[in-house]
This record gives sequence, structure tokens and C-alpha cells, in this order.
Amino acid sequence: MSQPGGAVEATSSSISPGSLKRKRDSTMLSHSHPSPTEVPVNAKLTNGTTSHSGLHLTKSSSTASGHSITQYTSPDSDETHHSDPGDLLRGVGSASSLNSTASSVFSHNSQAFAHNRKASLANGLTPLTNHTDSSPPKGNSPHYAKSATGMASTNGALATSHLPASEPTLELSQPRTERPQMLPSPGKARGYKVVWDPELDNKLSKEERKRAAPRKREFGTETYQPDSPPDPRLAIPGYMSGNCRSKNQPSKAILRIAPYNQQPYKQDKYSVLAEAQQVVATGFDPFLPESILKLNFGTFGSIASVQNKTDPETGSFLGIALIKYRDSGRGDSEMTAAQCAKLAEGEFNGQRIGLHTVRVELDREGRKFNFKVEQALKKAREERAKARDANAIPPPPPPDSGRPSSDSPAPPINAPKGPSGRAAPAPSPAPAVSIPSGPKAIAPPPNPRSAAASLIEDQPILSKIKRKPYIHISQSCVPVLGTTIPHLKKRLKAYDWREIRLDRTGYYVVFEDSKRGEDETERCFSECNKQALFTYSMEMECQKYGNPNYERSPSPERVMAVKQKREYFERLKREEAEDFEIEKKNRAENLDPVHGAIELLRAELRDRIMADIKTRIAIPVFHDSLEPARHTTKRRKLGLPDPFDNENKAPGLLYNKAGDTPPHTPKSRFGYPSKPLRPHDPNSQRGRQGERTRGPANAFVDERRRKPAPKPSHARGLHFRLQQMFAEDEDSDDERHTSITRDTEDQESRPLSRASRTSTPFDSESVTDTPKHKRRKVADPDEEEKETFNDFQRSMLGHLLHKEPEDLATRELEVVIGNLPRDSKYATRARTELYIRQRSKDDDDLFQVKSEPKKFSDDFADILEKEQESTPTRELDTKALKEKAKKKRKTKKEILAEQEALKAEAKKAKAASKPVAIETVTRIEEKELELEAVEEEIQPTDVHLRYTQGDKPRRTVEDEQDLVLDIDGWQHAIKDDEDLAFLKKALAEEAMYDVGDEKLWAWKQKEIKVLNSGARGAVQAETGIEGYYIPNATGCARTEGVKKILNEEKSKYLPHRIKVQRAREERQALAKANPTAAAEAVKLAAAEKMASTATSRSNRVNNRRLVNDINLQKQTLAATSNSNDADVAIRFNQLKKRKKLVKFDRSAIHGWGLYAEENIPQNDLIIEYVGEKVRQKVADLREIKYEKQGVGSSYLFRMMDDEIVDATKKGGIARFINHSCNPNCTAKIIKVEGIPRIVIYALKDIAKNEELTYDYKFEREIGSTDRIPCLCGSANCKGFLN
Amino acid sequence: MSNQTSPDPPSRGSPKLKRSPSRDSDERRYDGPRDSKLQYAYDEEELPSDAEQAYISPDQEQDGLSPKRRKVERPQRLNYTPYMTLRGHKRGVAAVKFSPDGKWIASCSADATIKIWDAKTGGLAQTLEGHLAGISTIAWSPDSKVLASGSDDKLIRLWDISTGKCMPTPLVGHHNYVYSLAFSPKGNMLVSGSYDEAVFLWDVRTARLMRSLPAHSDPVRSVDFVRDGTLTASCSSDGLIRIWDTGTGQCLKTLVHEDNAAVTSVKFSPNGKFVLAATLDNAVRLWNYVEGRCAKTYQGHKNEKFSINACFGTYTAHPILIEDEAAGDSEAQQGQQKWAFVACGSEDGSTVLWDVSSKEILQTLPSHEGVVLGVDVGLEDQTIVTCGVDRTIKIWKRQPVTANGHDRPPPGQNGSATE
Repeated sequence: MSQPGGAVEATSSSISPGSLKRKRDSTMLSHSHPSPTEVPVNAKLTNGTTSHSGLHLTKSSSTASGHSITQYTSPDSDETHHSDPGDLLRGVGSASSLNSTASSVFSHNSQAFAHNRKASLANGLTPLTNHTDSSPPKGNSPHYAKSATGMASTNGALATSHLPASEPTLELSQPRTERPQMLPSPGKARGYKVVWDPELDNKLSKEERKRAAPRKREFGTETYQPDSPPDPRLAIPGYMSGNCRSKNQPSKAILRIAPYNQQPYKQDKYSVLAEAQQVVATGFDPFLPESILKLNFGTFGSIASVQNKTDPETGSFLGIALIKYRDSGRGDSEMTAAQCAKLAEGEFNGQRIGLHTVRVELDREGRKFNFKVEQALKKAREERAKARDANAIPPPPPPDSGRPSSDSPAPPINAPKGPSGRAAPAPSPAPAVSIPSGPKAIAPPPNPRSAAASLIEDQPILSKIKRKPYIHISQSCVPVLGTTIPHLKKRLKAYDWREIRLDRTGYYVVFEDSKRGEDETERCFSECNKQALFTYSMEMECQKYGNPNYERSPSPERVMAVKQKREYFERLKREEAEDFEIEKKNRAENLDPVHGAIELLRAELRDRIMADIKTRIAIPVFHDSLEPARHTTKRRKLGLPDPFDNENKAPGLLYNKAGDTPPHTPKSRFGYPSKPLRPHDPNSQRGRQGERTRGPANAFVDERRRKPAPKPSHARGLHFRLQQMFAEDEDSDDERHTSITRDTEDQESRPLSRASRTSTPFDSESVTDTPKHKRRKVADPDEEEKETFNDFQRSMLGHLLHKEPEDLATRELEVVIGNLPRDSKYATRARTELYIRQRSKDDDDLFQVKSEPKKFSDDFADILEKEQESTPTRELDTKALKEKAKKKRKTKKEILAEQEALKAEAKKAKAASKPVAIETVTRIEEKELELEAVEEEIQPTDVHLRYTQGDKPRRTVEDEQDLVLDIDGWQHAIKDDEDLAFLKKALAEEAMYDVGDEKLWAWKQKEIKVLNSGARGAVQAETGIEGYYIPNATGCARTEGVKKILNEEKSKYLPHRIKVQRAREERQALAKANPTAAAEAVKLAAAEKMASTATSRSNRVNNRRLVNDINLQKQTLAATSNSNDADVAIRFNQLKKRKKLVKFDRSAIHGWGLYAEENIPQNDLIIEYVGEKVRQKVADLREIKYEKQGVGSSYLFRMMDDEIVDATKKGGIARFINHSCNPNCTAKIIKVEGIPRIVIYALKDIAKNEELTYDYKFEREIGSTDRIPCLCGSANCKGFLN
Repeated sequence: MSNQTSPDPPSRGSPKLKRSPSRDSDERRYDGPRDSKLQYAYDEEELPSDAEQAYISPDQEQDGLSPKRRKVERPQRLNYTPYMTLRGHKRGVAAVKFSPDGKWIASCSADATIKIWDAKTGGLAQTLEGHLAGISTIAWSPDSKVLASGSDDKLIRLWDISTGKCMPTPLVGHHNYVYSLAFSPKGNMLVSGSYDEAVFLWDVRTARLMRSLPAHSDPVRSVDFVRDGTLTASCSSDGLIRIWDTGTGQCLKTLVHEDNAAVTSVKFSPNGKFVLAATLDNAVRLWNYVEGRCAKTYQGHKNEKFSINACFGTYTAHPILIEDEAAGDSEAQQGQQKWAFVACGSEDGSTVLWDVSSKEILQTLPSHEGVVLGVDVGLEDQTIVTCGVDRTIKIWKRQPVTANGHDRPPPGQNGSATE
């Protein structure tokens, strides 16, 4: 190659690697003008000779055919050239100078040029297309550089022919460099292949060999194909469908997530989602008659419906139609709707109807259609709005703006005028501009004076309808137009309406105001609701009792009453305001801080006293008096039922009732007794006018009587309630029952408990239980208010009369009864009240409330104690209580001693149970530790003074029996020095154990506990190892050595065995309890399984596919070969193909087991039992050998008398199938091609993940010593395999 | 050595001499962590797959490859002498392990404690308490910072060595005693074998169970990770050794000896090509698990009841003395050729060391009263540590063999060197 070296060569060689790719780029770019920026980019590619190559590239781009050609065509191309790519040329110019020095020659330039040209031609690009631009890579045609000799002639030719014709200066300015390329230019031979080499031909003699020339064949002359080589993976059969899998390893497709390996969904008649049966057509002339549409689309199939959409506002067509096909027989062939639709889409899309090109798309659910309609409507609306704006017409008030402020009763402008409205507007040419745009086109607003308009009533009709039944059709669904009324009347002529009226809100169909009318209304509604009225649907609103908001005008009496009431309230308000004013004034006057402070203090003190009295006196007394335990004897004497019996019958109910306290809780009412209540708070609307005037000082006396109990009371429920109360806040017990509060209350002076009045739930049962006289009348107090008293009575009773009799003290009641006549209602009430009180007092006496002022907590503690001793439930029978009462009281000392003894006992027990027995020897340290702990541990409960009256022994501290006596436990249990002393005494003889630093040791012990149980402090449950655990004698498993573990033991901890064991036990228990039920359950389960698997659609599909496959094969085979072969092949395939997915895993029955990995229907082939086929003798030998080797399982399967399949060493996984006495599979021996084979079939429907089993059918060896126990766990297990 | 019944007579010459031609010393130099137990494992690809190459360290490789390799006679005897006895466990010591960085010795015991000892001084550094039952197994994380322990209380606990505290969440999931543990070389996984016949793979960071391998039909006795963590080995008293793919949980290979004796210990060779398995028929076998055949059988100890772990170690021609170590041990070590030995405890209280390739007994250490349960070999200084049911841990150091071929009586011992 006569190529100039130097920089140019370097350039080309450095460029060449990318040339291939860039060639393609260049063809793409060929029509674009080369931008100056492109040059430096290319320049960068050639590192090192940057400037050079850049220039070179520009050169080549300008040299390449394009420019020379243009120069042919335009004589003044010089100028154009200079003017056109200005920058470029300047670069070119400089490049030429550089290159002429660096590289040699001009001729070479022309060479390159010519070749570039040629290359471009070879590329199939005409020079014209390369106009003003050719990409640099093209200049780089690689082939060129190599075949230098061939160039010479072309070179010369070009030089003579082209160069003179083209601008010589330009040519000169373009130094020709040629760039050797990796690949030859397309169309050129890339090389040759020796087809025949004489040297290798043995037939030839030596001379002949020398003489003969090798035969060559050129290659690469074919034009370059940029196609990528074929994907080798595609050669793999089934690669694209994901079905390929090599023989020994499964396809990775099974590891892929579903969407990748899912088969393409095939539509069939079972498919849930049917194929699209309708097409949406757009783009046709909106005014195309439907019939033509039908005609056009009817060619593809019979049309079920055509929906040509109209603009609901203008009524004009939008040019969007939904055509639905139906299944039909077209000609001789059946056509389904889906096929028709597809056909329509395929053939009609892009066709024309008239002048318009129609687009047809499949639209399964009509979504596309809806979308298109929406779009069109939106567009139309926008355009309308624009048109309105453009025409500067003040937009009419929106027709549907509720109750319009404008009184124009005109319908919306765009609304069609009644039934004929559809034809009225001038059809606009396009659906998008279907709206009349000009002002002329706008429908003139209906004349308000016109007859039709006058039918629209100005006044809302609704208010006039009153009680008459009517149906309302709102304006939103049927436009308000007077002309519609006659149509509506006609439409509803089947119904007996009275009148049809119309106002702006819509139509009112008014019916007769009678039962008949109401029925008629209903009938009309049920039949006509949402029915069509022309194009509108009548959305009806049925009101068969007239205007729901209509109110009868009140009667005069009522008006009066209301008025009076109002006046009364007003008066009250006024008074209150006055009071407030006065108070303000007073405050302003006595603006003395000391005064104020005193007031405050007083109020506060009062609060305190009240609270104290409540908590210290009242509540304990209640508790005491109501404690049912203390009334047991009395109750029994009277034959009353035990409260607990009652309570526990329906605890939930009672709890709820007790729980729903009246709205004013004690706190809200009694917490601030000094605060004057509002005169008319909603809770006291009983006309207690006096209350307001009453001073705050009065509140004390009054407060728990303020509200009369509306309901009868009885003690049982109350007691229960208190129990609840106790459970809630035990901690406050102590302050509740102080000794001071004990005897201050006399029964007489003691006010009736508020709780007993109000809290007891009033249920019907208790009402019937209580004697009639005890029942409190729940009456409107207003009426009793009305009772008038004479002056004498007034003077005698005074303020008493203002109170409710229930609120009076007993003395007062007596006074009232004495002074009032018998027939006075007030007196009657008072009498009743008095009676109740006496009665309750008697009851109290009966139950010795007063004589047993024992602390409630004592009893409570007893109860607790009792509970711990007997039953953990709250239920306490009377017997136990009685026993309790008889129990002798012990002294505190005794108790303590007992306690200590107990502790010691517990300790010993614990020590015995602990194998490590650290506890036994660490007592002394513990003691020390406890000593430290004791200071904090002593609790106020210990100092608590206790009453020892009564006859039951009590403990100062309740020992928690279930406390775990670890360090925390001990620290918790030992409360004081005394305890410690006892403990020390108890442990005196124990040896000391060295644990090093006791504190560290103790801390560690605690840490270990925390680590394992997560609990700090004393715990109730021992921290231990969960689940099955047998401690090793030597401490751990490894030091214990290897021992054989029996199956029974294994089934205690191996999870899969536990599962089976449990199921088996359950079943057995069930069977024992109810043999028939168990059988039922088994049947049921079987049935369920059947139902769940048999209907599996996939199975059906698989089967169908299989059958098809087999049939296909049968046909092909039958065609090609004789029938015998085909049969074999089919059978073989059947065996292979019908195999089910199975896996093996650990089995509960024995060792390993085989599990279904899919649902398997009954009678389906599952797997073949594969193995070595051996004779009986061999099998016997092998059996012995295996036994010796310790192969735990037998994998020998007798097929024929002397044919045994041994799957021990060589075999399929079918060998893992275990025996079961209730198998779900069966082994069948079938002959394929005369050769027997063992095949496992499903005996039942088998669910996924179920273990496969079959009956091994071993010979029975009853009485034999080496019977194999069966572990199948089925209900009808025979116990042994053989 | 009387009872050595190796099928092929031990080659007397150094196995090194038979080795393939030397390669460039800088051809495959391993620049990995020097302290890791795993470092020696990353080397040979084209080694002849013979047992004698089971144990080759990069150091050895380096010097072995240099042209000026000395021809060193392999010592026929080793002379390990008791160096220290660590007492403190209240019950039998189940396992003892050197930390990968060689600084610590961890021991676990039936008294439910783990003790961390300083390998150099023998001082007790930590006592880890928290398990509710005896601990059968421990495993160091590769960074020597975390220790995993498996106990009879079915829990696996992870301990921070620096604080002595247990990580808050134990690995819960086993249904019976945890019997064996191994950390993956990266320290991110833990494999555990349990009495519940399953092998569990745990994610250490989240303390979650990653994979459960339905491995065996008897308690899993031992588990191990191969050097790169891709394989797991497990063995069980059902006589099977299984090799698992850690990633997929598939059983790649099952090794079973004809006798079907219970396998109590399994350990990958440092180069990852062999598996050392101790069985309850008084034998330790080296398996070529790829081919599924038994390459070597080491006998001469008693092992019929307890699961005693076997391990690999290296030895040089001359013992590395502590003084050497202090003064630039690397040079002293690098200059020396190494051979591998197998160590296993015996139920008669001794610890037996075999040469890997010749199967000769190099030494029998009269270590403990009662069963020797655990053996581990420190890498750096070839220290051996043993533990036994006699509640003690013993550290052994090598001493030069005396000229007459008999072991020099160790300084603190009654010179009863046994052959």
C-alpha cells in the first residue's frame, strides 16, 4: 500500500474500530446538515492526533460525493460552498495546509475521494441524498485502504473526470488520506477462501502439485447486512415459550415469578373475561344515519346494538358509536360476536364512509367508548364556553344552580325544547362544534309570557302541597319546560294523579290526599321511577305522606302553652341576669382581698369536709352494711337467696347496668358542692325554683337528697356494684375505712344512701320482684307540683313542701304525714317514703349492719384467702363462708410462724426440685442480700393497724404461694427482720456455698433471669425452657455421649411427628367419645377434599390438553408408521406425560415421604416406581445386605412372582412413598409394550402437600416376632405392616 | 503406633518432595487477612486432588514455590507438652475453640457457662452466663468479636466478647438441644445442627432463621462451613454426611460409609476439598466429597460413645518457640515448611495426632482423665488446646524432639511420652 504514514495513518487506524457502528449512524444522519459541533466530537475519537483528524474529518465530509455533485449542478458553487458551511470550510482550508505537509499527496486525496464516492454509491445512497453532507465514517470505508492497487485506475479516472469538473481549489484543499478499516467496504470481497489446495491433494503428483494453483473463492462480496446474528438461544426448542428444560435439570423458568412463565391466556368459552364483542367507531360524519352505520358494520356480522352517542346538552351526535355484535351464523359458518368484532376492527379500520375515514377499535368493556365520549363532550363544552365568551354575550345564569336568583324561569339554553327538542337545533357539521356558535344560533330564551312558560310556577310548589302525596321529578333529570307537562301527563295517564305542577325545582305529580292516593303514588313510583320520558330518565322522589317538612299549624292551646313556656324561661333568664348583676355589684362593693380569701378558703374547706365525710364515713359504712357475707346467717334464716348466686348468674348484664352510672357522677356533683348550680341545668328540670335561692350552705344538707331516686332500690345490686368499685381501686381502701368513722352514724340520722337510690338498675324483673308498695312511682313531678296546700299546712311544713318527699329526713317525713290530709298526694308520697325507710331500717337491723362494724377489708381479705385456698374463681358458696366464720382466730404470732414454716417448706421443695441445687447452699448469702433489701421492701401495709375482732384469722402479709423463690422472689417474700430471722433459723444447718462476690452473683442470676424470661422482679412463673426438655444428667448433650433415641421420644419433639401425633390423639379421643361422629368427620373431610380438588379447572384444562396431544400424536404416527409403533409411543408418552409433580420430604410416618405438589384428582397416574429389576434370589440377598448395612427402609417392590424392583440404590423417588392403612394411592402393575411396570395411581383426590401413601400389602405375619409397626396414624390403622 | 492399620504403607519421605514442579512465587500471592483462620485456604486450584494436599497454607506455598526451597525432612514425631491447665468450669467442658485471631480460647461447659481465656497467659477474661442448660457447642465469628453458643435449652445465643453480654435476641427455633454450630466465613450466617434432626441456617444480623434443611433422621452431630461459605456439611448419628449448597439448601452429596457408623464430627479441610469425619467406630476418615470416596482413615484412638471433634493442624520441622514468635515470628515461620496433621480426642483421655497423608500417629497426648471432648489447634503457634469431661482445659505447646527420637520430657511433667 502506497500509503502515507504519519499522522494520517494513525488517525485512520484509531478511528476504524468504531467505523462499523458509525456507518450506520451516518446513514441516519445523511440528511442532516453536519453541525460544527459534530466535528470535535469525532475528533475526540482519535486521541493524540486530534487537530489533524478533526480536520481530516471535515475534509472528508466535504469531499464526499455530496459537494462535488452540487458543484456540478450549480456553477457558482464556489460561493455557495463558501457561504454555506462557513465554519467548516475555514477548518477545511487550514486542514489542507496541514495535511499537505504532513501527508504526501494530492493524488491520494483524490483517491480517497473517489472511494468515498464509491462507497457511498455502494451503500445505495445516491449522491443527491448525500447533499452537502456526508458523514465521516463513510469516508473511512476500510476496504479502501487495503486494495490500493485497484484504486489506481479509479483514481486516475476520477482525477481526470471529476476533479476538473469540480472545483479544483476545493479539491486541492482536501488532502486525501485513506483510512484502513477493519472491515472492507460493503460489496467488496473481504478475502478469499482456498477451496482446493493442490498441496493437500494426495492424488496429484509432486509436479502437478507445484504447477497447480489453488482454487480460491472470494467471499464478502455480498453486501453487508447489518442484521444481528440470530440469537442462538432461539435454537433451543421451546425457548420462547419457556418450556425448554434440559433433561437433568429443571428449567429456570420454574424459579421465575409468575408473569414470566405464565402461558399466554387463551380465550375459550370458559374464560371469565370474554373477548371484546363490541367495537367503537369514530371519525365518521356525525350526521351519518344510524342505518348506514348499521349497514356498514353489518357486513362483519350481525349487530346487536348500535349506540350512536349524542351530546346530552345539545342533542347533536358526537360521531362516536359503539357497535355491539352478537353471535350469528353468517353464511354457512358460525361467527361469534368476538370474531365479528375482530373482523370489523381488522377490516374496517381506516376505511371510509363517505369522505370520512373511520377508526374502529375493539372495546371490550366500553371503556374506550366512554372515554372518547367524555373527551368529545369536554371539548364541545370548552368550545361552547369559548364561543360564548367570544360573542361577548353575558352568560346566562347557570340553569342548574339550585334556586336561581334570577327569576327567569327559562330552561337551560342548551336544553332541548321538550320532546321535539332533538330536532330543533341546527345540526352542526362537526360534533366538536355542534354547539351553535353565533348569537343567532342561540335559542331565544322562552318568552316568560308564553303559555308554556306560564305553566312554570314562581312559588315553590313544595310548600303548597302540604299533606298531599306527590312525586317529585327533579329538574336535574328532566328539564323544566312547560311543554313537557302534557307529555308527562300522557306518560302517566295510567295513574290517578290529581295534578301535575311545575316549578323551578322540577315537576310535582300530586295525588289525591287519601289512602288511595298514597297507594297510587307508590304504584306510580315503583313503575315509573327511572323510566324514560323521551330521552330523559325520570328520577322520581316519592313522598306519599306529602311534604316531609310540612308542619301542621299548631292549635291555639298549644301556642299558648309554648308562649307561656317561653315567657317562663325568659323570666328565669332575666332573674339570673339580675342575680348576676347583684353579685357583681356586691363583689365590687366588698372588694376586700381578705374577704375574698376567706370565701375561697371556706369553699375549699367545705369541699374537703364533704370529700372526707364521703370517703371516710359514708363509703365504709356502705361497704360494711352491704357486705353480704355478714348477712349470711340472717339471710339464710329468711330463706333469701345468696347474692352471689344472683350476681353470678348474669354477671355481664349486671355489670353493664351497674356500670352505666347516671350522667351526674358523684364527682361532678359532689366534688364542688359550693358551686351553685345553674338554675336550670338540664338535669334538674323539675321546677325546683327554691334551689336557686338556697344558699350554698344548704348544699351540705341537701346534696345527696337533691335528686330523688327514680327507681326502687335493693341492696343486692348495690353490693355487687361496690364489689366492682373495690376491684377498681383497692389502693384507696385504707383511707376509706378509718376507725374514726365507725360509729358516728346512727341509723336514724343517717341519710339514705344516694347510691342505694340511684345506682340500682331498674329492670323489669326487679320491678316484679319488689312488692308493689315498694315501687317508686315514676311520675311527672309537674303534676304533683300542682297540688295546692292550705295556709295552715304551709305554715306548718314551710320549706318542706318545696322538697320532694324522698329528700326529706325521716323526722320531716313524719311531720309531713302528720300534718297533711290522707288524700294529699304529697302526703301519700311521704308515707310511702317513710314506709320504705322503715323497711330498709328493719332490714339493716336484720343484717346487723350496726352491730358489726367490722372492716370490710377484713372480709375481703378473707374472701381472697378463701379463694386462694379453694377455687380461683370468684364464686363463693355459702358453705365456705360458714366454715370461714367458724374458723378459729389465730394470733399474729401464730400466723407469722405459719408463714415462716410455709416458706421453709417452699424452699425445701424448691431445693429438691432443682438439680443444680445452688439455692440450697446459698441461703446465707441470700439472707444477707435480703437484709439489704428489707429496708426498702417493708411496705406500709405491714404497719397498717388491723382489727382483730371477728373470728377469722388473718395474715399481715399475704403470701404469694405461686411466687418463684429465686433471688427476686426471696427479696419480695421476706419483708422484715423477723422474717429474715426465721429464715436464718430455718437454714441454720445448711452448708454455706461459695459464690464469690454475693452481689455480683446475685446480679448475674437476675440478669440470667431477665435474659431468659424478660421479666424483672418477682415472677409467678418459673423461667425455664419451653417445650419438650429433658435435662441431661451430665449437664449437656455433648458430655452425655451418643445414645440411641427411641421413636417414642422422637415423636415428642420432632415437629412433624408432634403434628401427626396430636392429630392422631385427637382423633382417637373423638372416636372414643363418639364413634359415629368420628366416622362422620372422616367422611366429611373426605367429601370436602373431593369438592376442593375435583372442580379444579386447571386439571380439566390439563386433561383436555393431554387428550388433544395424544390424539394429535396418534394421527401423525398413524400416518407415518404402522399402528403398533404408534401405540407403544402413545403409551410411553402417557406414562411420561401424565406424571404429577411430587416432592419428597421428611415424613411423619417413616423417614422420608412423597408429597403431592399439586392437586391430584382421583384415578390419575402419579408416578412410576422405577428401579432395578432383579430376580427373587437377588432381591433376597440384597435385602440381607441392606439390612446389614443399616439401610433403614425397604425399597424392594415385588412386581411379578420372580420380578422385584429394587429402588434402593438406583431408582426414582417413588420409592419414598410410605405405607398407610388408609392410603390415598394404589400401585398398579401395567404392561407397556409387554413389559410390566409399576405405576402409582391416586385412589382419592389428593390435595397439594398431602403425603402420598399406598398400602404395601405385605403378607400378614400375625404372631411373628419381627412385625413392622405401622405409624401411618390413620383411623383404621392395623398397627402393623405385616 | 502399633495399631495403625492404614491400607497403604505410609510414605516415609516427605510428601513435599513429591510435589509438582515449582511455580513462580509471585504467581498467586495471597494478600488476605493474616490473622484469619481462612487465609490459608485461598490457594491451589490445580493441586492434585490427593489427601496430602489437604492442608497447605499460603505461607507454605510461598516458600515452597521459591527455587531455593530447602529440602526438609518431615519430623516423624511431635513433642507437645502441657503448657497450661485451665480450671474453672464446674462440670465437663464440652468444647474449646481458639478465636480466629488467636488471642482467646473459648470453652463451653455443661455448667451452662462459657469462659473466655487469654490464650497467651491463660487468664480468665470473661464468664458468659445466660443459658439455662449445659452448652454443647460454641463457634467464633471470623472477626473474633462474637461468640455463638448452642445449648440444651434449645437456644443459640450470640455473645459480645468485649462486654461479655449476650445479644438481646437469641436464635430460637430448634426443637431440641442445639448440638453443633459453625459460622460462615463472612460471619453473616450461622449453621446449627440440633437433636431435632434439622440443620438450620441463620441470618446472624437479624437473628432469623433463613433456611431449615431437613437433613437427617437422627440428631445432627456436627455442622461445618466450607472456606468460602458456599457449602455446608452436616453429619448425624444416622451415619450420613451430607454436603449442602448453602444458597439453595439442596443436598449436593451424601457420604455414607458401609458400616453406617454414627458420624459425630465433620470438618472441611482448609482447602475445602476434603471432609474430615469422626465416626463412632474408632476411626476418623478423610473424605473426598467430590468423588464421594474415603481417602484416608485414621485410627488408633478410642471413640465409640462420645462425639469428639476432630480438627486439622499444621506442623513444621521445628517447633516455633515463643521467643521466636516474640521476635518476628513471621520470618521464622515463613522459612519453614509445613505439613498437616489431624487431631482428635479419645475416650481413654488422650489426644491423638496423625499426619494427614501418611496416617502415622505423630503423637499421643495424655491429656485428660476421662473423655477428651474437644480439640483445637491454634494456627499461629501450633498450640493445641484440649478439653474433657474432667472439667479442665489444657494447652499444649510443641517442644523440640530430643535427639534420641524420644520426646524430651516436658518441664512440668513426668516425662511419660508415649509412642
